[in-house]
Amino acid sequence: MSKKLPMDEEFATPGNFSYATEYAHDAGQGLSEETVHYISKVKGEPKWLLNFRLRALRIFNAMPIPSWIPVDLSPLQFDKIRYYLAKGQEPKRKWEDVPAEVKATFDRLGVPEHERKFLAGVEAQFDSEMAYANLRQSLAEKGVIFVDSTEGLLRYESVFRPHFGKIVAAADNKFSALNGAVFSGGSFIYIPKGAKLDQPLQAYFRINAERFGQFERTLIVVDEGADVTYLEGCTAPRFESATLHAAVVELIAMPGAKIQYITVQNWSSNVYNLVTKRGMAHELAGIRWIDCNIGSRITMKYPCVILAGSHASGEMVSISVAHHGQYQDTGAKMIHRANHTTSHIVAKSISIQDGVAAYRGMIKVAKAAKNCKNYTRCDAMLLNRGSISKTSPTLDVSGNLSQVQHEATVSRVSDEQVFYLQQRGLGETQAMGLLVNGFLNELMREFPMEYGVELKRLIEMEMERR
Amino acid sequence: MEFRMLSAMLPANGVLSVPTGVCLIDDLPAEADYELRLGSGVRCKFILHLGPQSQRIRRNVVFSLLGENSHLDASVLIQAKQNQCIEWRGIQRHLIRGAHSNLLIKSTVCNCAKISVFSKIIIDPLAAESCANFQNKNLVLSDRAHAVARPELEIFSDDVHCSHGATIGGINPAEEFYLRSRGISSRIAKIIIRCAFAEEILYQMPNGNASFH
Repeated sequence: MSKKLPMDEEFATPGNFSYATEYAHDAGQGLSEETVHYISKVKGEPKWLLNFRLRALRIFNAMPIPSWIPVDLSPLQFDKIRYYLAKGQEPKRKWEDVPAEVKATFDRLGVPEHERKFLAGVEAQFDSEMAYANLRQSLAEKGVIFVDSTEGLLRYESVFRPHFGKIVAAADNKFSALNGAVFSGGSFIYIPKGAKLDQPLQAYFRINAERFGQFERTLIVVDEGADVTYLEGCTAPRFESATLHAAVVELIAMPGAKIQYITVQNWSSNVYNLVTKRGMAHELAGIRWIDCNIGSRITMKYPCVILAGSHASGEMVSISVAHHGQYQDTGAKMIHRANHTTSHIVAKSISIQDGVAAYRGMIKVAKAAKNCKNYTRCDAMLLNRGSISKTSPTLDVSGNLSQVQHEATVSRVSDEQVFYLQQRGLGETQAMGLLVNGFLNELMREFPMEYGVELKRLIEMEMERR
Repeated sequence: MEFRMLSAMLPANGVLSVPTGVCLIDDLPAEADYELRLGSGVRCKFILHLGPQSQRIRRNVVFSLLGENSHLDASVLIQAKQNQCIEWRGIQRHLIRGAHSNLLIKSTVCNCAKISVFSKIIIDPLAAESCANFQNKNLVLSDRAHAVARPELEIFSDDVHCSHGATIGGINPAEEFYLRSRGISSRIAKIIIRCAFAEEILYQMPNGNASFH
């Protein structure tokens, strides 16, 4: 007799809890120059950084919402969002020193356990600021820097300021301008020449308060010949009101460097996730985005690699699951600006009930770039009658010496395959879960094992809700 | 099934309900926008050759499959050279169950020419058991030529089989070398490869309409 998977409400929505807490710093609702001045003053920032924020605010106010956005953003009330909330803490180096309710939050999410088992360093952000930050002593001695944005720009200005805002400028789009005005938290990482980290660095972002916008800013600079793997996870409790997450991620891979950036996004269903992620790969460097989007109400995220040096490579592995009421608009952009550059994109999506999974991509080969290669594959699976899939790639190639290929398929779970598994004693839900995991399996192996196992369980839970 | 060749039926602007068993040849001038509607059980072919018409050419075509078991096979050959600018916008719209559509677009781009191929497949929620395929192959022949391809899918029904593919690239050096190793000059080898690339669509055109531009 087939067994139904247990419906553990807590496991099905692992981030859906919050603790009452008091905040030492609260910029209040709404966004104005006073908000920006408040944030800058609390952080003790220099004049140049305040000017950067004010300029970004002016750009944000001047830019309209892009007309091509396929969803309705009107539930986002910019004047009702809180742009900065902090408990006034410095990030602690030991979990025992973290405030009780904050520690309870991250204990429940398993973050300290992961750190003990397999991480080289961890940052845990609670609303606007880091509550915990620790880096293995051996790495700190090698010159590895792993701090939040405030400490990065204040204490290590000479390292990070030359690259800050250069890959994603404030004027890039409306939400990068918003991030430029009110950013807080995030990870600033520097890996010195030749350093190879054998374990990943991780950041975990947690929204605790209602009507709060999180705007973390991440900048990773990997010097020549070095490499790093960075993991980020994010959750929030499910509130009734809409919440905004508008992060900016900038990666710089110097000649010969390798960056692998892994994201598991499981925001609650009221979060609008509008993120700008871009990396620049120099000669012989490689940037790899591994992106999993399961949560949020709306996600619009298109990680990009600018292949600026010869023989640079860019890669994107993307999984997105759009359940009832969700709109996952994800994709990738690869800009070939130098000779002999290669890029590879594999994106798989699943639409359940009336969820919408969309792929939006751009491959551009500049006129001066010769002997470039790209391969893109998008596969979509629709599980229910009302499920929707969209694909909008653009291939823009100048010159006759490059090769660009794109292919996409859309299909449903085969009735024959489901019947075959049911004949072997599995229930319909188990059979569907097995087939969906099989569809995603080749990509799930790219995640660290602990995350891959967790991902499989989350997807099985999604199938239970189908 | 035998298809009757018809070139005089297409409107430069407007809508045409296509009868069954015809092969429509588009020999309209440089700019045209029209919709072809296929009713129940209609099987038709469509052939278009863009290139000889003018310096700037634009085609905007909507294929609407409105009847069950309608079937469309469409082939478009685009040959752009010198400073030509050629734009194709096509939509394969499936509005009812059981329809099939296949669209193949091949293009060659030489000198300083530019082509844009925008194509979309839309499957309506009521169009279960539909099968739609789109393929776009673009052969770029000079370092100053430019090709843009945008194949799109919008699928609103789960019981469908849809695929699309697009490639942009130059002549395969291995193929050119193969011909040159047989004593054929580089210039002639490239012409042979271009002809072979276009032949799949050219041979479908009746004599008199087939011209290697």
